[in-house]
Amino acid sequence: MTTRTTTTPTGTSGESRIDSARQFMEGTARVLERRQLEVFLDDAPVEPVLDALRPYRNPDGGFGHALEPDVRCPGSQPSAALTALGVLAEIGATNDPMVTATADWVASVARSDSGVAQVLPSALGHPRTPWMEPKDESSFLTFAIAGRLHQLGVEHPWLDAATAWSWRELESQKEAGGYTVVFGLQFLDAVPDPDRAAAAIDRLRPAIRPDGTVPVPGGIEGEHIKPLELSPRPETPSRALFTPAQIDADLERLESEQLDDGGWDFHFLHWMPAQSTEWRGIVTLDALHILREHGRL
Amino acid sequence: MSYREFRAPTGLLPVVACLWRNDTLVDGTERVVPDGCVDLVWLGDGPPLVVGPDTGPVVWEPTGVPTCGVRLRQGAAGNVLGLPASAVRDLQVPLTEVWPEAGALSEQVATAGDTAECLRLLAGAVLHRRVTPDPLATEAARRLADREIRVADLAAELGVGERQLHRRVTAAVGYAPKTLARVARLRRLIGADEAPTMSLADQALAAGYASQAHMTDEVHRLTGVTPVRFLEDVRLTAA
Repeated sequence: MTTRTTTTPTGTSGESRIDSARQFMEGTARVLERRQLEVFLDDAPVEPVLDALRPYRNPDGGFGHALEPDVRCPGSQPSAALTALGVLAEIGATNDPMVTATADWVASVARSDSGVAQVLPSALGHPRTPWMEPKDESSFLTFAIAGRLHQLGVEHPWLDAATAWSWRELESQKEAGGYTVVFGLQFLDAVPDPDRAAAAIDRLRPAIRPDGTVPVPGGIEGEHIKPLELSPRPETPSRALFTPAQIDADLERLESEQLDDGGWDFHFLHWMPAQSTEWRGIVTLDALHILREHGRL
Repeated sequence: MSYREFRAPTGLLPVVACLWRNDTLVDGTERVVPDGCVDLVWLGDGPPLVVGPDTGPVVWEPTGVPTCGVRLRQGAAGNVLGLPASAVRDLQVPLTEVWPEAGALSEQVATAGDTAECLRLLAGAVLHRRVTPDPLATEAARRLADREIRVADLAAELGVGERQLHRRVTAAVGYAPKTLARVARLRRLIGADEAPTMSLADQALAAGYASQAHMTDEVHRLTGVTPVRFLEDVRLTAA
């Protein structure tokens, strides 16, 4: 159990923030996030990150083994592919063979409309969070995976088809909400089509409440997605949805949420011990990235 | 809307400053002054061009149609183009001369007929290069943008010799570090928020010029006009 940090005299300086986060990661996080932290903080080489990512791979070219902590089956899953692409993008490993191999795997499990399911049947009989239920319909993960592949500069037939699918979904009259907005913005921030992306981003505006947050229907009580989760990086197209004041307020919120063990926590359901621990390593790394990119670290 | 900048997609953030569309050139000319960037440009007719880093003013002639482009960051041009950026300094060359394999892309851009489609093609092409900027040149450009600093001191701060800094910056940006410093000083002169309330002499000192005479001389060399006229133009364009 952890509690909020009280403001000690040194508690808010960038250096002590980093030191305590490092302690948290060394005490708690997986090897993968620990290696990513070394690249981020110490300019360490990226090969150990790639080495830490490979054990999550399967012979089919996909990723499983709870790389994404909510689905804990060994088999390859779209959510794990998304996590892997996020890691590869973060360390700039755009030319690693795992990038196109992952695109090939995603293409192999895509549905006839080119979208991918949120969870594949290989998860049946394995531990997972309640919202990770196999269903044969295209999901919002398609937006996010396509966005990551664009970010990585990939050329791939499935990416073309998934991009078309994403535009169709985002430009239809449906009202988007919850994580559809998060993943939709990941696509729109990355797709190299600035005019069309700017218009689609504007269409998402009604989903955002006056305080800059998006509610999550069916989540834990009061669950909502925050501005920096919707638009984690400065200078990106999604920033058009937020005022500087909203971003500043959310940066202060993020700074204040470092816990006294040095890590950050996540705002959705804590379902299993390992799931909770693994997510905390991931969101702590994310929090440090966001703070540094906004000059707060 | 005469000139509009779009934020770059996330994959392009390390190498692209912005994507832009310009309607000014439909029926007017435009004075373009050195900014240390290389652009991939479509002038509304014909194949896309690489517009190298300028060392002096260039007057763009009317094109009759809207134009658009991808502006590469300082320090990114060498790796994106795949050749030393100094090779295109003060030049406008067809993209296929720089990327011989880009014939099909060049053809698609030339026949696209609208700026949104051109920007999509050009941004995609830069993304597919999958390159990162030279970190040394990027850092040098960042420090020079920030403040007045001697090239020898900059090299020492970055832990390289002066000759290596010269080589890397020239290859990545297209300018020697001294030229980059001059351009950076001009950008500081434009960028000062409080400038309208200051005297010209004070603006000169704040931007890092030794004196107002020094500023007049340099601004004329880089832009072809006097500081007063240049600053007026800049504010009109920005408004």
